[in-house]
Amino acid sequence: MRKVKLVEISHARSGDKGDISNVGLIAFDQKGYEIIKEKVTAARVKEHFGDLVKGEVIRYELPNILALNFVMHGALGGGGARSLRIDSLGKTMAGALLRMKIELDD
Amino acid sequence: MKSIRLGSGSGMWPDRLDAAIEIIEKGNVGYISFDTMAEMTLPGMQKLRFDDPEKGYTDIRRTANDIMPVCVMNKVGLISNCGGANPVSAGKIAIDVANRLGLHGTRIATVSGDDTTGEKCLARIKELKAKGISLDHLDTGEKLESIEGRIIAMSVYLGAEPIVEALEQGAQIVITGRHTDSAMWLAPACYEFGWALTDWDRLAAGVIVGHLAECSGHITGGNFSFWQEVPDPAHLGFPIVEVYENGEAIISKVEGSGGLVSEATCKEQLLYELHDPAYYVTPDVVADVTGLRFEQVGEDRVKLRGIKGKPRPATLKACIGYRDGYVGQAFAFYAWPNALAKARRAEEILRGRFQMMGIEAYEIRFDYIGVNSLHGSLSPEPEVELNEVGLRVAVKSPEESNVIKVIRDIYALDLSGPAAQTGVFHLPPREMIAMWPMLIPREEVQHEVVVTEIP
Repeated sequence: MRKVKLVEISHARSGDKGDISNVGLIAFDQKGYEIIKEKVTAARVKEHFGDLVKGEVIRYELPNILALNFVMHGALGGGGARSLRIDSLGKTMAGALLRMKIELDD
Repeated sequence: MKSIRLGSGSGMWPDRLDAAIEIIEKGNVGYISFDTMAEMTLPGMQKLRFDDPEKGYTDIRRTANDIMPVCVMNKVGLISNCGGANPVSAGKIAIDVANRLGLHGTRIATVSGDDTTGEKCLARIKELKAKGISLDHLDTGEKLESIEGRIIAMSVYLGAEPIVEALEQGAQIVITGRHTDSAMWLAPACYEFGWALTDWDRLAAGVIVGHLAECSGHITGGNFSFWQEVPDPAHLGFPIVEVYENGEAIISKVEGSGGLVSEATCKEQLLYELHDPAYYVTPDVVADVTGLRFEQVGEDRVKLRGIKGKPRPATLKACIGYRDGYVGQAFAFYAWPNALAKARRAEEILRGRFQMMGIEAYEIRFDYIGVNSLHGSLSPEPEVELNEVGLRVAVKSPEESNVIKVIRDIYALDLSGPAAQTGVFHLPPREMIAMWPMLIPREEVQHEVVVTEIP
């Protein structure tokens, strides 16, 4: 058992729509996809983001490109037009997700 | 099989001009489209138009003076949403410039839709309400009454249809207002191939092509996780998409330009601002990318296939711009020793003073730049003594005077605060215009295409 940060086993890109931030998490290969599919659940992502994400987190699966997509509501301090955050568009939310640690079985 | 090459000249305002010119001159494209509007650009444009009925466009002057003549010279069609909240005004400017430059025979189209400001906007809202149309907030379900008295403008997101109409009328230059960005690439594909407006799979392919192209450098190595591997980023080539009649496409860029196109850059852009992959909603079609495949077929060439489409929705997205208070921010800097501790002490002092002064605010926010201003509470405590920390104070208040009081107090800490505060600057208080998204039935929305030929 060892703990790894998601940044070691995947890459990501985040986007925004209003107060919703989405983070696409992309594995490097099929094996990596199976791992993130099992370990990176919507609940765990919501827990990871803590007070940064005030609403629900929905997870979509895209096995065709080895990716998961997390759609997070209430995640941008009101959204681009209203937020006081420097990163009101959540460009750095992808990096924030990649900080998350998971346990690998090998 | 028939194919058409479409360039991407801009993903935001401002974007790099040289990369767009490179595509027009060397990219062998039939059309080049310019997205100058992020989602939050629109409220700002609505406010400009509210304050001055002739304003509210984005990049029209550069588009008309620097890009249009190059397109005409190289016989490349130009489509741009730089009309913003005032495509009619922007169109007038384009026509005026074309006349001055002597672009004889050039046809310029202005596409305007459902854009109303001030009194006209309020009348339009009343009209929609009278028809029993719900104007609830699209994401939160809140009622429109909560922003009554603060509304300044409304715009409806149009799709590809009006742009196709403009092309069918022979327009070489198309100036639009608020469209879905992807429509600016779907439309020329639709026009060139004669795709029916109910050919859902092909329309979906065109929309996804637009989605991939609409953020310029985002797919050619910009904002890329493996940015260290991107060659020559100062001369990043913007994307060119070769669309085939059957809906397949190849994403590439001008040969010899900087940047790179790979399956990884394409995947990152596909996921950008995507929600449900089976249900990507646009005015033209609902796209389904769950069967999409990317395949590297050459250096900086990635093939795209497998997109499916479902019928377009009965509703269109509209955005109301409304006044949402005043916002200001100020920055101050502290150096070693104890940079972070000094910034923390400054925050403590300021909070106490704001309470003492009775500052009324929706929100007062403190960030430490270099420590936690981007990842917030996810940022670990620094393990080493930092060289410097920036203190940022941002405030949103119903009253501008409160914002000014907060900013003043940060300056005053130079003489009354922790050791060696320096570099204080602020951004002038501005009125915040927020966006209220909602859905209205598509039959409620009219659009107009006006084509002018330069004599």
